[in-house]
Amino acid sequence: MKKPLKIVDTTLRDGEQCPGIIFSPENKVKLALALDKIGFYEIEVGIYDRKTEGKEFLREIMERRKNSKISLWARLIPNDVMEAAKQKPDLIHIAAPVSYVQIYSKLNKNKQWVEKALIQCMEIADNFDVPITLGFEDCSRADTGFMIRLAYLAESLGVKTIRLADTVGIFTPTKAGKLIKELKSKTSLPIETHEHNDFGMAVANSLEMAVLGAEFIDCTLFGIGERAGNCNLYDFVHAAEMRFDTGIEKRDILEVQKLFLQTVHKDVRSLL
Amino acid sequence: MIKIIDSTLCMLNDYPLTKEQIKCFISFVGNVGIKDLQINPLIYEMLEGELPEGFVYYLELGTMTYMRGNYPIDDKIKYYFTPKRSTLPNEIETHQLNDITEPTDFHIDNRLIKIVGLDSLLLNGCDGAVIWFQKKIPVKTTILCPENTYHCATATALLFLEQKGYGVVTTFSGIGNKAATEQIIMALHVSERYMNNKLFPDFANIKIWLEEIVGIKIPSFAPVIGDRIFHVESGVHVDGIMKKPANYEPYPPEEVGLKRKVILGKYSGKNSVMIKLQKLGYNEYTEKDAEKLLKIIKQKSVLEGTAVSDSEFTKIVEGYDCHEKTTKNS
Repeated sequence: MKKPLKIVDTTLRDGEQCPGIIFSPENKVKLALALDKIGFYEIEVGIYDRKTEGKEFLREIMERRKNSKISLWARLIPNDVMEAAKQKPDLIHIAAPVSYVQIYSKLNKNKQWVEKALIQCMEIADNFDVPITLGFEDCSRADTGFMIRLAYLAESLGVKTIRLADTVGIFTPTKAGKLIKELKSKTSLPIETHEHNDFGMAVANSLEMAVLGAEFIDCTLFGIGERAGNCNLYDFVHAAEMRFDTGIEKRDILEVQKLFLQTVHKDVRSLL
Repeated sequence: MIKIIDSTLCMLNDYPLTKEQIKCFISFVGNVGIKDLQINPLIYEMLEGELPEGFVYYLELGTMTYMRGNYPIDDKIKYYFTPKRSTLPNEIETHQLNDITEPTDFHIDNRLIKIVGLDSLLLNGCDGAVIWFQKKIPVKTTILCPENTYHCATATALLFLEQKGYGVVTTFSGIGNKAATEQIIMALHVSERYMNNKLFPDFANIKIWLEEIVGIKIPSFAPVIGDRIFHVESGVHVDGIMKKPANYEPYPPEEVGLKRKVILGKYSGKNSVMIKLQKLGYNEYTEKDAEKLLKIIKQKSVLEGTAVSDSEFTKIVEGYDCHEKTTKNS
């Protein structure tokens, strides 16, 4: 029997971060409901931001979806997590930077700050009773020792899943595999992969991590996302279907891709 | 020694190439550090035998051509990729292996061989692939040309090089269902310091060359060569990049002949607006102005479903000048 593998769609979040690709709230609802029909475990629908797209779209998706869990993305900032939690999604994803370059030069903080902020964010999530998946942002350039420590902390705080985000897309299957093996040997938290395609290896990396025990795989339609994009949903399912049961049929993906092309601006179509 | 043999030219039999175009391509690939080129009799003929200096050439031969023996023999061609049967020392047998269950009992006695295919090698994981390499093929004397049916060709080529394979055969943009030359070079450059001090601006030229020959635009988000891969809209990313580009870029865009560009849209932040204002020569605006402009930008981009261009932004700023700024001053 094929091993089940849960697919997480992030077209509406990381996919939309692809410059020039913008969904109106109506189109987000339309696409989310189409994605909901074809077998995703989870659909990440955006970053909660009242000023940008309001909350009506989210309410409508939550009401009308039938199958998938709906999640929101939040920074490792207590207030962001609170705002997201108030919208009552099924899951909140919190992105915690774990590489020194991101912690020190982007945030101008230190490792203790990351741990403290995680504790604060988890307290809020706990109060609102929203399950949390935790992102290890920029894990491909991070110190494994620190990630293991953070995974222990996360587990003790009740985090459900660790998402390994290869933020700048520099993993190779060997390197991604090494990290998974290391984490799997030290913690029992389920692992989710979030690949970027900077060297054209997003599919191979995601697959290697699935083979080594990752349970959730992030994908986007047409592989859209920051820079060279994320793991292409169709290509991933095509590569994975011999060994895994993703619950998603390729012909359904093609149908949703058609809807996507009808939905987006004509200039975007020429870029893909 | 990492050996990357580029075979782009062999994939272009259906397109009319001139001698100048071929020479132009060869000079571009030389500039990005490629020293090994796979060509075929047609390319040799187009070049009228004038193979540019400084490269190692491998001539790919089809079965009929090889049997008939009507192909060029030239000192500049170091090796011949022949069909399975090879006799001379400079001939390298080619084996198509679609699946790892196919037999690999090659009789090659320490000679080089070429293996093409292996599309599905990684589908059961790298550990199994490595064992297969070690047990079933003579890694150190094998030239591997992985194919891309499952979008794993680049990864397969890299894994083979990690295992000290003799060399890999690739093509630019992966044309012909192969591993992509530019992806392998940059992956090795970034992670393994391969050609550490080198820049690769000619990737951009090769991309344009290929688009002209084939008549198809390479997607804007193609790894390494897509024209928009260093465009950035998300406010979080723009902030991070302004503090230090390495926060969100695997390598500087200039290394591959591209440019970073801030795009204004739904996910922009205040900093993006400030950056754009300064770039377009509007220096007298405050952060408060930027916040108000941001609101207009977000609305417009959501309404139209696409980014706000520089000229549209200029119009927004000018419109804003007439209303907001005058009220502030009055």
